[in-house]
Amino acid sequence: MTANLAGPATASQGREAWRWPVPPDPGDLSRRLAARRAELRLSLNQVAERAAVNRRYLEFLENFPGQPDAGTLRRLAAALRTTPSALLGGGGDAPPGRHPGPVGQLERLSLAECCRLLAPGGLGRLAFTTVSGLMILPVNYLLVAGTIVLRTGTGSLIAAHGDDSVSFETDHLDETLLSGWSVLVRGQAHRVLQPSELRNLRETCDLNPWPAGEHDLYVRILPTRITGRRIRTP
Amino acid sequence: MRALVVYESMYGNTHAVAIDIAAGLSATHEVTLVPVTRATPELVAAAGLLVVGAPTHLHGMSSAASRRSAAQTAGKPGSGLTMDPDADGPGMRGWLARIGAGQGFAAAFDTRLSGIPALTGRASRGISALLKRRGYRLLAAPESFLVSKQNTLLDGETARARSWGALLGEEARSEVAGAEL
Repeated sequence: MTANLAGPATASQGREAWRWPVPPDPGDLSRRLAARRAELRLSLNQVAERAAVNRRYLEFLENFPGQPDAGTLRRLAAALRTTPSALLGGGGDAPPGRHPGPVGQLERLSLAECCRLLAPGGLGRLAFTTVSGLMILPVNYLLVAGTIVLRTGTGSLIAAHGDDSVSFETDHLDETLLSGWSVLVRGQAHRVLQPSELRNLRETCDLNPWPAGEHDLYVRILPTRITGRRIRTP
Repeated sequence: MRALVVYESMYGNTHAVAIDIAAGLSATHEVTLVPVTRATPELVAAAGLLVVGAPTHLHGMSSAASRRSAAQTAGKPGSGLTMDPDADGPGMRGWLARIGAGQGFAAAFDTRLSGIPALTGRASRGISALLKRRGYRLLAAPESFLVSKQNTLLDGETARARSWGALLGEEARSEVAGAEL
């Protein structure tokens, strides 16, 4: 008996080496906690200290489906500059930006700044005119040699308007800090059909749209105007 | 506003790109297009926007030796290359060393072999750095237009050059006007 109890006791002394095993599904709260902490580039210790929770408990919460009490959740949300409901994944069915705020200051972004913000690629919105009016659709994009590149299915609505004059918008807005930016690209789209241009894009751009399915067609927007705004709330 | 497009070209590709950039700029600017050999200080002084381009030779701007070697390559029988009529001259590096201080807008481009920029090098970076040192305000990051190993512009580069010209023109105009929000 005594020997059996001694086993775990010695193991807990070698604390540094111990890591939580990562379960297959850590749950939504865990993912959101970890993702938000990574986004803010904070260490476990920093967040634990700010939220006044045990570092080990925080590490547990980031790896396992846990149920922290309301007070702990509130303190964690404050430490991560977000809200308890956001950590629990609430609000997913409502548009962003519903919090009323003081009037922020808008400033114009230069072309160079806009290009820097566009460069990582990601999610944007493509606007074009159809017979039934204006259409705006979310798209994954990459910036390649100063042009916006999208991938779409050959039979898609975007493909049908792949040679039109289009607008493209992307932004990043922080609801908590009421700050962010948006960049608007206006230009001429074309379906990439010429072999050498297509080969060049296939080689240089690693673009994988979120939706599953066929994305055989590359559409490229040659910008003729790029403008951007930043909003800051003091 | 006046724009001046200055190019150095060996086999005509940078010349062709410069023509397309000038076409794009013409929507917003009165454009003058000249080879580097004929880009006089008067023309430079009169321009509010200076767009400068050259081919990439040995990872950067051309030198007397690299230009001589390019001319020899074109001179070989069956090379299929013809020298641009304005190919002979002091080259971009020499020209940039002589232009005085400016305070207008500027942007640089180059032509280079398609491939990873770290391997091919980009003349436009050197041009950009020199323009900045002269006091010019760079409107955009240096841009490269791609050429195949057979020394022809890749498909789509013509259209891209035209839109890049338009983009620069619009940006220069809104910078000058201090466009409202």
